[in-house]
Amino acid sequence: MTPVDAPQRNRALDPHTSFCVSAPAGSGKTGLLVQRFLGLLARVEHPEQVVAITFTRKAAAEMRARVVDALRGARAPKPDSDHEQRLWQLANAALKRDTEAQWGLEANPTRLAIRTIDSFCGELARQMPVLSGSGGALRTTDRAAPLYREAVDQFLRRALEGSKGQLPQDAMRLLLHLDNHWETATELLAALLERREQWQPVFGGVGFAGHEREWLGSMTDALVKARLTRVETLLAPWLSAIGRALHWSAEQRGVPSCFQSGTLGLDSAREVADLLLTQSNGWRKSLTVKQGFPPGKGAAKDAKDDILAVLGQLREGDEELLSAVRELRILPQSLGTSEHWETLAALTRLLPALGAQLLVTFQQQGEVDHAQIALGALAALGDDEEPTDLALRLDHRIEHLLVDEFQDTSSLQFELIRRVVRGWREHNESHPGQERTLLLVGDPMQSIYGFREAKVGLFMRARDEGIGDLPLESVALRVNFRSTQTIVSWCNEVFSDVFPPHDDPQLGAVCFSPADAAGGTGSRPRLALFEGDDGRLAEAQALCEELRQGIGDPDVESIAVLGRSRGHLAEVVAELVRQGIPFAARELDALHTRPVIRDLKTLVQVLLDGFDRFAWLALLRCPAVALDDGDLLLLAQRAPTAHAFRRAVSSMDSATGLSSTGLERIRWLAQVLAFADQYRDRLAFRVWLEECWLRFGGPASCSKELDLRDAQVFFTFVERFWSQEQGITSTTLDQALEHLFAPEAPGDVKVQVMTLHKAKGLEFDWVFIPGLERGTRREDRRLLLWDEFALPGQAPAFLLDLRAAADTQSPLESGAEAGGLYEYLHVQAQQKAMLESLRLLYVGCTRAENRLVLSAATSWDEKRDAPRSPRAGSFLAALWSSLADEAEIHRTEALAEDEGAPEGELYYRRLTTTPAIEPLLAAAPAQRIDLRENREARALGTALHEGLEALVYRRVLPRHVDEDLKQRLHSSLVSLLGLAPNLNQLVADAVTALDQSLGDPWLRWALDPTRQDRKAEYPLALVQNDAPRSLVIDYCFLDEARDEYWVVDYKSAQVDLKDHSESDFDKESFIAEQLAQYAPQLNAYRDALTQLRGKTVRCALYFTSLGEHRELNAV
Amino acid sequence: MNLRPLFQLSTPLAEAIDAGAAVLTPNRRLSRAVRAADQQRRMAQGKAAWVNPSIMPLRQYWQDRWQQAVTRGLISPQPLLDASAQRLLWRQIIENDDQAGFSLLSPGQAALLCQEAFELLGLWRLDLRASALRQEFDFHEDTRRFVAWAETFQEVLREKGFATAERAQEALLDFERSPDHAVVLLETDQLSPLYKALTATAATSQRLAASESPGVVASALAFADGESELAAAASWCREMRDRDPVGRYGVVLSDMHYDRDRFETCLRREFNCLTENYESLPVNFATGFALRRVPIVRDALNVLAISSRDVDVEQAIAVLQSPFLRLPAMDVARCEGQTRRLRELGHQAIPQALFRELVDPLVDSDIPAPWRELLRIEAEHGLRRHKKSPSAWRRLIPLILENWGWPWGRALDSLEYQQLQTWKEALDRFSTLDSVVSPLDYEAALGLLEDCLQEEQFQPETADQAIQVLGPLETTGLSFDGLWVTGMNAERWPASARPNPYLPFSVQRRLRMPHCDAAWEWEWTQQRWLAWRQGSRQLQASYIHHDDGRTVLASPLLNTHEVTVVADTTRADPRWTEQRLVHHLETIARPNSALIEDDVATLHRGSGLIEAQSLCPFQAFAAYRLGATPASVYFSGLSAAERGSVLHHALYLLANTYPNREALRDADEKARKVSVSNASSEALSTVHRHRRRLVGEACLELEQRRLEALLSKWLEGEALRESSWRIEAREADRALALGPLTLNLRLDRVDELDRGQRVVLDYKSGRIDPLSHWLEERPRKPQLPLYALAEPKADAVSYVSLRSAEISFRGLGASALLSGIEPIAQRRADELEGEAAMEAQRADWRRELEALAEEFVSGEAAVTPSTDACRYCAREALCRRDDLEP
Repeated sequence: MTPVDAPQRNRALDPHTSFCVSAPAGSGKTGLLVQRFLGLLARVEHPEQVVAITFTRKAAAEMRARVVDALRGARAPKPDSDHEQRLWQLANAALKRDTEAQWGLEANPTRLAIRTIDSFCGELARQMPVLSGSGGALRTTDRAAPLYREAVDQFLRRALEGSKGQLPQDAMRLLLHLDNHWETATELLAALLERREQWQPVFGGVGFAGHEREWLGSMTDALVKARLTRVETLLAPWLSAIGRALHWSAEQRGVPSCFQSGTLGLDSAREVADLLLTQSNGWRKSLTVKQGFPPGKGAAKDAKDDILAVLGQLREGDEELLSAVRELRILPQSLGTSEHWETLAALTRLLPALGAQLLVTFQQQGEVDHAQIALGALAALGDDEEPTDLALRLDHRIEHLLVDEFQDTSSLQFELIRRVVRGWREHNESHPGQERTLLLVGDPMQSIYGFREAKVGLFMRARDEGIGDLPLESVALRVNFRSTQTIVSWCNEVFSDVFPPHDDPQLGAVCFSPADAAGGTGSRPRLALFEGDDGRLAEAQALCEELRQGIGDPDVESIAVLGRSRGHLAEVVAELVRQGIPFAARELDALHTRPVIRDLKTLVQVLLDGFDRFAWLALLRCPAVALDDGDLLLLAQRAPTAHAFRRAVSSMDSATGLSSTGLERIRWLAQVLAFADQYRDRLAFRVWLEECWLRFGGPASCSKELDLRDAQVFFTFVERFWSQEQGITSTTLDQALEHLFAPEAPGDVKVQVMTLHKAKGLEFDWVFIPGLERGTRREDRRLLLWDEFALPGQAPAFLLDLRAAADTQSPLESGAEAGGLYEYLHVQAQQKAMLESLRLLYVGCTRAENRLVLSAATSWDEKRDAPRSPRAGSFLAALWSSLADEAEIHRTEALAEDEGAPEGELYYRRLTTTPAIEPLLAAAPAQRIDLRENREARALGTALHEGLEALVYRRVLPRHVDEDLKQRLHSSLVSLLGLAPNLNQLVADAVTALDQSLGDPWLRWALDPTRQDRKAEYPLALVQNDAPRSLVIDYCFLDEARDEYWVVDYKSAQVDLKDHSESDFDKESFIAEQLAQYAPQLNAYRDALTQLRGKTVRCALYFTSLGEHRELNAV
Repeated sequence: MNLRPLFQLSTPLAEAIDAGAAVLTPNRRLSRAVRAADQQRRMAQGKAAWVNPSIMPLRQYWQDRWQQAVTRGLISPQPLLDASAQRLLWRQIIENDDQAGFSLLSPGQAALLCQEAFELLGLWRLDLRASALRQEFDFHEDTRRFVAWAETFQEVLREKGFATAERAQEALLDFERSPDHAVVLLETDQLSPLYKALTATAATSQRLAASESPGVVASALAFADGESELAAAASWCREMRDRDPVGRYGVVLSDMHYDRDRFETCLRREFNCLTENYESLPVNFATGFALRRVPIVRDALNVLAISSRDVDVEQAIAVLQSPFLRLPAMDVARCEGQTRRLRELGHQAIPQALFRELVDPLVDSDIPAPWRELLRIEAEHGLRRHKKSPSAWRRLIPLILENWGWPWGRALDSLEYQQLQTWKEALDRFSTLDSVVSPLDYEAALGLLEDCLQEEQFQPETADQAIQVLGPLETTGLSFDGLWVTGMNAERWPASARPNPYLPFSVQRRLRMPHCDAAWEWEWTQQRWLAWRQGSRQLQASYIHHDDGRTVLASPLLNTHEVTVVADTTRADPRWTEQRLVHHLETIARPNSALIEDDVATLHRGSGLIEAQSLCPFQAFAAYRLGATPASVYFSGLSAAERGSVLHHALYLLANTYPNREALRDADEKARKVSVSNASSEALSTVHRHRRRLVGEACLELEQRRLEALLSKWLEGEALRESSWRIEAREADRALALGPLTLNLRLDRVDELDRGQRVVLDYKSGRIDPLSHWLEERPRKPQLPLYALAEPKADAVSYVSLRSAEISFRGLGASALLSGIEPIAQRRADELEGEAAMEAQRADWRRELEALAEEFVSGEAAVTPSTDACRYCAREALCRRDDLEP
């Protein structure tokens, strides 16, 4: 069947045109990308000229696999179905081009330029090391928080050390603003560093000097004015009635009203909001004397009825109206005191300097965050004045760019893409038929990465205005191939209610556009509510029940359990583990709180830091030792330090008052620790730990078989951590372990548990979204908030404000008077987050192909005999109005379990027996080692050898060391020692020694250039004890006169006169010693040469420092 | 038992060797194997001695030739700069490039790439002075910058008289061919132009390959994770060797750097060489590991590091416990105490002088403690005053280490001796950097030394073994009975092209430089594949099909082979399961341990004890009886406790100045200002001097300003209070008999109001808990209720919240004595009012709190935390709360 949007799909494949494609859930977005990618491949010179950018590595891998598959499939005969034919044709053309140009894509799929934005940026930065400021490949880290902290720490220290200039003053001002709370300051500034890509474009240069206050003031005024005008328009039909009511109310209460008919001022706007809205920001349903409407008849009743009628109509209005009136309450009134302004300005000046410090920190630590790579890539692309010619720097010019998931693009990425396509329009105009094209694909309704700075407004902007000067044709797909018709229409129904009615790029609001289903019908999605104290457990159990059913059903291939955050899935994961249902969960199942890991940590702590008394106590409580309170107390009192524990354990006698079991365990523990000491730093760290743990009864102490797997994960992790870190301390390990998760179940597990964010782009037969009743953590109150505002008829500008002094709670929430710009921005941010969370729910629901089950644990409102209305901010609250009526309600009885030890009783686990420890050999006593350096002496020896060797090649033997020889000695010594400060002295020493040798008649006789068979550095092999031994003879020659060979071995040992005063140096015994020492070697030389030459061989040592030789007596 | 030779000597090769040709190989490993084969051949021929033929790696051969030419006086001598010295030089040039006005994030990487680029130019015999070539560099900023740096580089070499190996070897090309110079190139594909030209200088040259027949490829295996892959390879090694002990087996690790250590662990487990048999592992590894990682060296570096300006506390603690050091006799218990203090200072980096001050008392003053010796060295050699050359530092470093008794803390084993030897060699190499670096200060010298040690490989000496673990290139020419290649995925084989970014890509592609483009990579990959196949009778390839949630494709090389997906093979160590079979867990009841008289005497008995008992009996037991305090953490600025205690102290002082409202009202603004300022600075001076030094003057000055503002505001409010007040007592010690315990309490302040009512006040600088926490059955916050008991005449007890955001009272009393104090009656269910209600509440508190005291004394230590009790406790490892779950 041809989908109704087939024309649009075809259109988007046009290789001459750039597009922005809106592709809702299930619309086969990847398929479209693959098709276009193949289509473009057929038109380029090098495959690298088509670049596709995906959101995750996984998506890149999948797309690459699909392209490769399509290319392979192109060798098969033409398929029948229309859809497959299209792909086959495109692949065929690409394959043809591949063959023509000998790309070898099938053999070399890495040539397909399909990558994530991170890796794309990384490549740009790597290939342009100077322009990007990187220098070369950079190590990036996912956990940059310690780097930010380090930078802030360094920065504050340095800033405050200075006595002059603006920086110290600014830093002091900021710290005082934060109550001199350095931890808070560090945290807040570190959070700002993480987002520097956002503020750097705003005040990344120098920060505010003073006049910006006016600018900011006028920006704020303009914003307020624009907002007020909007409300005026929206409220126009009722404005006069509202005015009457306000005057009535003011009169009644005896206060003046600022309301003037016609225009709304800021003050009167607040009056309007207070009149119409309740404290909790809903439309009022009633009015009391408090608002100036006492009960009564006549005029009073008329006035009241009048405004109640207005309220009745307003309640019928849409969300936009309500939010516009709400906004009146928070519209910023002032920029705050000048003190506040000064601090804000100070912060804007501090931040650029802090950003610069971060680069220094990156440099010192040799690690950067991902943002830095992107910033580097941006820099490498050059600004508009000096754009970089990419063609020269990338392997090949980029001709076509495809970007997936564009709705989750950040401003920085947007700018990056803009720079890549710079000049394309011009090119296209002058090269018709060879257009360079851009394709953006995304679904604004699925924009869910606001916390990573994604801005859905950018998608709308690109769609409407193009990127840079490159126009984009907008194409909207609407057919959903994934889900059943039932699910699609359910989603249409529910989410058109839940989503805002209009797009608002400013707020990141996206309205709903319904999808068309291509699939058949199926069961309607369900909402199940579990009521009662153990609702969550009941929910998890019911879920497991359904999962079992799905696992058993051969028609069901994949099932997902999705949650808003890791925490929300904890109960489900625990229940799955408990019931032994196999599931795959990436980074969901945190291990560091598991007893087995905790005990391992304790063991590591004791082994690594012998001074950690707390760890010692914990060790004594591990199941292998498990001292009872009495024994533990006894030891603790005897051992005020960890060291004392250690001593107590090693020398425990029976008269200590410990219980007999306690005593036995302590003695056993001493053996374990002795083992640990013996092997400390002698085994690979991981092996050492593992062996200690084994002897400590670690495996037996695990209560579940599954714990062994976790232990394995731990050891693997430790091994990796060890190889990455310079030194492990228990603290660094402890922090790192927080990111330790249970491994993914291998291969073909049907059930996958993941966060909604991770589910983006995936599809499953069945989808469960439990825990709908849960809210999220409140937005942090950051130090600085900013936002881009585009007011009608004006260029986009930034508003920013600083958090009020030392508060951690919003004045709005605490009931204080609003009015600051900060509060306004904060509420805006919250609103954006709220809108985004609705999209997150949409993403979750649209993952389902056949079955969708939503569930929540709720409590029961006895009064109304109905479930209590859900807490604001939860998914359930968003769905409540549409789905409350059809929810299945499960009322649960308390599920108290009375098996095993009653909760909180004094029970603990202990190993019944302990593993045996093999006895250790007594360690040898430590000995002092001579570490004196003799490097110069060795170098001198080598230089002399080389000098003597050089003499062999002289036609005439010089009388003294000549310039050539000296040069030669110098060069040898420099090669060996570098340009050492005392080089000249050493050269002189070498010259002296060689001069002395040259003056020795015997050596001159030996080196006589007229001899026939002379060898220097003569490499020989000699078989000794059935094994070949390699030898190098310093010098040997034939004494033709006597027809015998001489082997000379040079000894340059310096006779150190400091050790032997002139008088007691006994030359003869020194020589005798040396002869004795080298006799075996000389004899080997003799044997080898005798074998080879068949003549008598005489051997001598030659002492350069003495200028004489000594023959070794023949054996 | 003789292992089968790794290399089969062919007749043509043997003939060439006998004819005196030099054999040039691509790597040292192959040279060794060829030499061994040649030796076997000669011994088989019955020879007892012979002249060793030249069999060596290509690079080394030409290096030796050059050296010989120098020795023979044919070329003038010139010292050469090795790669790491060159890199250092590049780095200096790059870092000193101020013309560009930037600083690169990774100058080290830049230096590495530039050195490689320059070497490539040498190997390809390219001269940057040639204008056509130069033009290609001029197109782009990155390559242009490289040219500028390269000019400086050459300039420096000229000045210092050094050369690089490639440039020096050019000189060899000028000679006439010597008639007896024959070379055989063994398995050397892709010669660079320089080596091609050098080969042409030999009278005769021939190329030989080791073997022509490709072996059998077994099916490729796909694993779910790296652990399984390596474990399977290890067990394959054992099986193969069990089957044929004289055979030769190789494992090629695609990622040697990442997998080497992990694979060694797998092999050790497989061959049971984990502990006792450590030295009998039948495996040779082609690479060692960075010397810097070796424990004995690591500790040497730690010692050196803590002798620098700033001391890293964790490093210092590690040093004090290192097994390789022999420290002078010191009281270990005190040492532990001092290290705790080191950590409690809150800063991980502390100044050297402060560190010395803290550790100095550990050793008797007449013993030469290392830090005292360091002072001597400082005085004698100007450790900190003067910059020194690496060779000068090299002489000082052993002196510093010797002071700490490194490395004779324990008897070294043979491996550690070897490591020590390598360490000395590394130091020597460090010294030769004199040539390229100007004098350095101590910290910079240490940094450089660490870099050297990172580069220096430690490779334990082992005999020739049956199993070889190799990098992808190192199998060349060898012949194995079985070869296993890991990591054969599509991303690595072939890899993406990696041209050098400092050379124009057009040049690299045109000249087919390594990694220049995809075609090069593919060709190279195919060559490797062929080499592996030719080098083994049986080839086993494997890869991991799953990574980070995505599917990984097999290398296209495996396209024509069957791929078997191996089901999960991660097996726990069999010893683990065995242990579980033999030993079992039992659940045991814990008897209470009642307090005895002695315990009571030594107990620290403040309100915290009762609070802890209330929150969770075990918390009280752990904190107050076991003294179990988790380690402190590092933080910036003043701690909450310090700020609190300073504030308390300042208030104490002010209470003396202004004992009543009238005195306060009488004081004019100026006087108040003076007293506030005095109190603040006096209070701040109570911060420990070590901490003062660490947080810095600026922080203290800010704190002073903050305090002054806060206290002024406080006094302002106090002066304006409606009812008059008089301070009756400040920091008043009270002993409270509570059941079996007597608590020692200190009340911040007791006031008397105008009508004689008494109020107990407690200053709080942090957040204030709700008053409902005083009124629970087990009061979560019993401090003020305890004060109410200790001060039986008090009509109210109240917190004073002293935060810049909020100054207020919050408490309970007989009546609303002050704004913020609520009448207790409002919170009680009974009908009592006023003082009667207060008395009734006191009675309730006494009952509840006495019960807690009794619980504590009886040894009740159940793990029954109330809500939030665990949030700041951090004793899970001890209470084993989660262990209690059914």
